[in-house]
Amino acid sequence: MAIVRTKNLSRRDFLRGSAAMSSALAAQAALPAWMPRFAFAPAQQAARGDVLVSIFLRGGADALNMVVPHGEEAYYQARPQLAIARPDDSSAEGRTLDLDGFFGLHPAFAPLLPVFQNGGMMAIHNTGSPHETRSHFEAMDFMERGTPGDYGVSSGWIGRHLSTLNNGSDSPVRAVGWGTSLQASLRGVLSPVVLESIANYHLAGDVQAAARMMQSLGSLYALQGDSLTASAEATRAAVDVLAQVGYQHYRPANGAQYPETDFAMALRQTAALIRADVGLEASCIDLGGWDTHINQGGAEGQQARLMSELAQGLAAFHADMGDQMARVSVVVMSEFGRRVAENSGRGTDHGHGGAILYMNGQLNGTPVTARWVGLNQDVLDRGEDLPITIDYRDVLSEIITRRLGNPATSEIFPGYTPTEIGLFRA
Amino acid sequence: MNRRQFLGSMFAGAGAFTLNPSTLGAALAALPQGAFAPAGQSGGRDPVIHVINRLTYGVTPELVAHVRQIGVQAFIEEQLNPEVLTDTDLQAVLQPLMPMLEANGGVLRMELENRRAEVFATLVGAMLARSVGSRRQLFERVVQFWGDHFSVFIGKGPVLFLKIDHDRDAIRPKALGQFRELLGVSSRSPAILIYLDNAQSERRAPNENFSRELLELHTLGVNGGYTEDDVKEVARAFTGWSVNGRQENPDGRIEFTFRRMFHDPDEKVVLGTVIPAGGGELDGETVLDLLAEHPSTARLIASKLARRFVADQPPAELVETVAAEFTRTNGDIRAALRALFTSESFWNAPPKFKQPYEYAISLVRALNYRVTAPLETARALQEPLDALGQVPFTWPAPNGFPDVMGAWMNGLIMRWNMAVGAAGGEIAGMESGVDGLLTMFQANDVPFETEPVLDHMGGYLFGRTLTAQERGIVLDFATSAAQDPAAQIRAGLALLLASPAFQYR
Repeated sequence: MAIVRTKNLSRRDFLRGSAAMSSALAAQAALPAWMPRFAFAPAQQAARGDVLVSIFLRGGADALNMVVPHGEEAYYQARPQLAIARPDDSSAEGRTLDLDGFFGLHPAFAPLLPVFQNGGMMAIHNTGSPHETRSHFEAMDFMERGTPGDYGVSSGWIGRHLSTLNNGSDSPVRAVGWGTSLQASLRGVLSPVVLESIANYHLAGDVQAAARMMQSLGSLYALQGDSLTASAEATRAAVDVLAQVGYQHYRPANGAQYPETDFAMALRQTAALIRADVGLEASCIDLGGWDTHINQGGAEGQQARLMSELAQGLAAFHADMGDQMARVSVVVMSEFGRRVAENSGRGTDHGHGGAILYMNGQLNGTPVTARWVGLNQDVLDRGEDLPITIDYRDVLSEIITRRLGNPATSEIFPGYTPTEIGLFRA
Repeated sequence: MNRRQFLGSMFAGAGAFTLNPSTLGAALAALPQGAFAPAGQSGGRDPVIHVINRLTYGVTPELVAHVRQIGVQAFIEEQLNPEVLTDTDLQAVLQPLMPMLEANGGVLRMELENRRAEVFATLVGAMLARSVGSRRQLFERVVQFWGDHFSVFIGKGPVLFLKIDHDRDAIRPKALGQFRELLGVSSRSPAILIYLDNAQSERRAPNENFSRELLELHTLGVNGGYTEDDVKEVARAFTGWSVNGRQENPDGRIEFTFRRMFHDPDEKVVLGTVIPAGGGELDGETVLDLLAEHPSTARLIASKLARRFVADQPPAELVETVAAEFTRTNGDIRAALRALFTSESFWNAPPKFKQPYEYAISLVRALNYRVTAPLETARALQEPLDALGQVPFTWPAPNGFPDVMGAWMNGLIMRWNMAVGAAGGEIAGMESGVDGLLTMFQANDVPFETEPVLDHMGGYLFGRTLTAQERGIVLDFATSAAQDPAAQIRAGLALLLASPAFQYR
């Protein structure tokens, strides 16, 4: 149900038009409420790229116990308490799930094993942001800006991706940050929406009174003439669109079962927005708790529980999206990996290189991509941390150009010339 | 446990935050004269409202009348010397919470391990009651500031229980004192030692978590001039700074202890200074001395205070001035604040966007609510505060809740909902103040009619008269919302409190 419109129609006009339209649609009672009602990009535009789902594991996720180099003897020497047992170690309870004979997945990733095996997901190892900081906050900041070591650019990499991608869309839900405060990667988006729950994103109370109040608030915020004006306008537009999604009627496809976690609910709602075709292009989701300085656990324990939450959510999303994964890119990253050697508290301290997980329908079929240099002290960063042999901007640049349809990587990662890795089918 | 799981576990049996329209009651409180007097100068900003907005959690009728009476300079001095202010009413309200607030966190944990929601409500309820009702408003704001500076996440292990000790023994006694003392007590507090994993740090492979955050967040700042080697050396110096367990204290008390077995006795070099071998427990104190007197620490504290009380991007000269005063007085927090409040930048400060917690508290204060039952208030406000993104003590990272507009400006819809709820209804555990507020207008010779009452709200809430456009929008909305004046005024109030002007302080 695409609405063709001219270029200079404002969002306001458009929403008014859509409101009239939706009463016409009401006659089609057979149509589930979450089925497409809007198409925000004008029909004459070139096909849109993938919807980007960006997942940030906050706290520095231990990539070595997530995508395990089970073929590396030094890994087992460095982690006598924490290492994940080799796939063929029959003495161990939980073992690495082998992927390619050298790397394998933590057993908590079992729900994602078939996705990896069928070429729907890959890990890129020895990657990260090259700035040497071991501070969570600085590392996250640089990574989300997309400018390691440089505070001169205030916007985030996804913000610049969307602002340089001139696809004519002015959907009020082009970019959604799940939670209660905006992810730094989304800074620079004209009007990002920050929300926790589609169902609650409206003014409470009597519908008519709420509508009148929204109108009055719109007038008051318009007088303000600062960044809050845009925020209020975006809020009002998003309320209108989200009301049309009918999220309470959304039923995941293909028997997908999302766990009742905040993380999985953000994925479920992302899936509903993609299905409803309301113009979502970027969805940012956080999963915290990865700062495992003590009692990290091995096959089970603290980090295993987090990985299980991650894997169950992603597996449900993958099943739910089904064929639509061909137009969805899910990128999972963290601000840094953790120290190769464990510490005295059965945990790991801040490290450097880590891994990126990537889910997409067009991958080259290799489960793990890495320029692996081993774990001997002489090749480690500062003699103790996983080095970065693939800059995370190489990974993102390839995704942006090949899957998100945006050639402007020189604006998204200013001053950086990316190197092609070859993540996709030729 | 992540933030969501933690809050989920705390929300069972959350109380009501209802929208019960109530009519104008006869309740008659004290009638402060002058609360609704027009602003001194038309067009300009009222200094009374400005100083209230910056030093406190927001206007109340009594407070506006008080500051008009004693003047802004006297008010600043009064707030810098909270010892002279009595809080009898608040103490009575907090009385039922005191057994828990005065207990050792470890003992509480042993007794109440399965009643965590009660402990959580006590912690949050005490903070809410103090924010809303204390006369020592600046003190409470500074306590919140240090709570963010030395932030702990109460969803981790026993930290929920230990936060009670951290607040009571470290932050509250030292909030306006010498920074070195605050830093010392906080660094020895079990909440910090457990949250930042130092309690388990042993010489064999020291845990760097506490060391790194001590340098980065508590003292020097991320570019404050330390290296990765300093992080490792500081971690070595603090090995052995730990807490005792149930083996040592059968009653469950958790307290600081120095574990010599864990401590690395060899020489350390921190920021170029040699700490000779054999210092034992004092190694940590030596490091704290070095850090507290470092110029980067003065700059970090000054810039964070200036950000909290003046602007997201405070002027560099202001930060230098406050840092210089901090250094001159060997880290006297009160002196640093006085330098801040007497600066020109303070009086010319651009509007500062309220954090969600500040917004919520300013809302109930402006509406004249009073906390009567803190536990009920905590349960009632948990959900709205969660929707706003700022339930106290639940920021999961050690850097504390963000204090810049960019982090919070996209959450307007939840603020609007809270304004409607608070202006139109009642909040459990609080005495509804709207009727009393309206009564005060009458006592100030403002006729009980929609137009004159809402006209006076500009001066009260924003320190200026409403512009013609604002006035038109608010009156249109109020008069179309209901028939009787009480309901119209409530509707107009809801809109004013949801409006952009009230998002700033």
